[in-house]
Amino acid sequence: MSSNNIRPEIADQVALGYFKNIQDNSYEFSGEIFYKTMQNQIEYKNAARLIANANVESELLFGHGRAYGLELYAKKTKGKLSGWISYTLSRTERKFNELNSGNYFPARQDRTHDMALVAIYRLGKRWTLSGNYIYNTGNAVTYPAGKYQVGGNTTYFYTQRNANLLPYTSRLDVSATLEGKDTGKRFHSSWSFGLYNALNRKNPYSIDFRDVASDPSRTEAVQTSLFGIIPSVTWNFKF
Amino acid sequence: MKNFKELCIIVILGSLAFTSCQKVIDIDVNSSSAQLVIEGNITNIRGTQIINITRSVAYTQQNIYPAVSGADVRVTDNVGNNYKFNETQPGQYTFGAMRGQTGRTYTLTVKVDNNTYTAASVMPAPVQVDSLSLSKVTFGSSERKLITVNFTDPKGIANQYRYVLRVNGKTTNRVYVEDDRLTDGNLIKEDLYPYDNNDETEDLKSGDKASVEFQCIDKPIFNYWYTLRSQRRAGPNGGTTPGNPPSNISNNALGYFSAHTYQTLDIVIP
Repeated sequence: MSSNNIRPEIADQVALGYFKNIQDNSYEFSGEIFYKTMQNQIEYKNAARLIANANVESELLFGHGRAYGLELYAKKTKGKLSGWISYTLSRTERKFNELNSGNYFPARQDRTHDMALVAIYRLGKRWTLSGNYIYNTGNAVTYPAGKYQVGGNTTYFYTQRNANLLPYTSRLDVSATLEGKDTGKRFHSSWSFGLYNALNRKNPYSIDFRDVASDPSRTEAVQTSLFGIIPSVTWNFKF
Repeated sequence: MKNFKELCIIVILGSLAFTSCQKVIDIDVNSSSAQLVIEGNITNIRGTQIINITRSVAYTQQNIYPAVSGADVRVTDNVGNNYKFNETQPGQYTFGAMRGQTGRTYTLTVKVDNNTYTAASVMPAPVQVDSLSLSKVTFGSSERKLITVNFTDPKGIANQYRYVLRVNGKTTNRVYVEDDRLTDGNLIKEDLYPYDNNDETEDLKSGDKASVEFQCIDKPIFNYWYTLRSQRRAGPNGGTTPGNPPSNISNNALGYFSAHTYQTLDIVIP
């Protein structure tokens, strides 16, 4: 929200794309490059105090950002097997005079590679199988580069903001749907059986650093992951 | 009933999968060159004042911090006193018996390897603690004990407080720091949680001896500790983008130089 102190965030984007459908629109292809500049971007100051602070605006920094990349997309629309694949190669950066010595640094949501694959297969009249796979580079984060001691505790020394990457995220979801028999009545139902994160990959949610409990002369990085494999059963009906 | 059993199994498996998990991982980190770290305190209690100088190490190294010897360490105040600190242990510089006085500005000058580092800190007026007490807090079914510091904040003055909690002589690894931005002039009951997260082995037990060092610190030192504290609250439940806390020492040295008053109180857990 803009105010006397906060100017509206403005973005300008240019894109150049090539789109092509073949075989009576059975296949769709597209490729696109884009460049985007962003003005009046907002970050918190180092050591910002936000709780119960009536002057939050004084805790903000203003700078600008840029994003550019290549997007590729292919889709099959007809036939027993349909689905699409998309891939984006991009970079998203921000620049603030007060941060990172005024140099561009990766925005937290910067993702070098981002891929998605969706496939749907119609198996006979009543069954449909589908799969969804995603892969993306981890978020840009700040890891310590060094450490020292103050007040008797290990304290971390940071050099550049967002200079490190979380481990990549990848997830496969699969599901099978069974349509109810068509009885010609208004009532219609279907069963869906699914597995979220079917490969049970431990995707990173956060990483903490701490002294090893059994050996305080060493430090370890601890990754927290949220959802592993989750099965699901759904009954849908309409009437 | 077979279907019901299967349903139960699915529900149980499903809820297991919902729990998050933690594991220790290997990561690539940048490597930093050794940085100078100065940790200096001048207190209002007559005694030996200590300034420690060490260097940082790369993240991947052991937590052994090299002492910096042969530094020229001086503290002056704004009324013309000049204290030359002597190295009594490697990296530890001390000045015999002196005490800081409220309202005076103390300036630290450290010369080492042809670099000069300076810092200034103003000693605030002391605030008297009334008492320590023991409080209890209930998390679900478990009851945990914590130490409460009771005192009255002086009205109309900006005060900043730092607490150092030691349990059986061991300093806890939490940073406790507050100011009176929202509590000016109030009766303060400051709760100090001795433990991190859910580790019940760190709970206070009957017979434990706890001591609290109650410090009145100036504003830049408050910002230093406050920033460190926000970052210690790391992990999924909070924490801020990590950065180096704003040091009051010049020339990019790490650490701080704090002129503060303090008072130490003890309590035995009943």
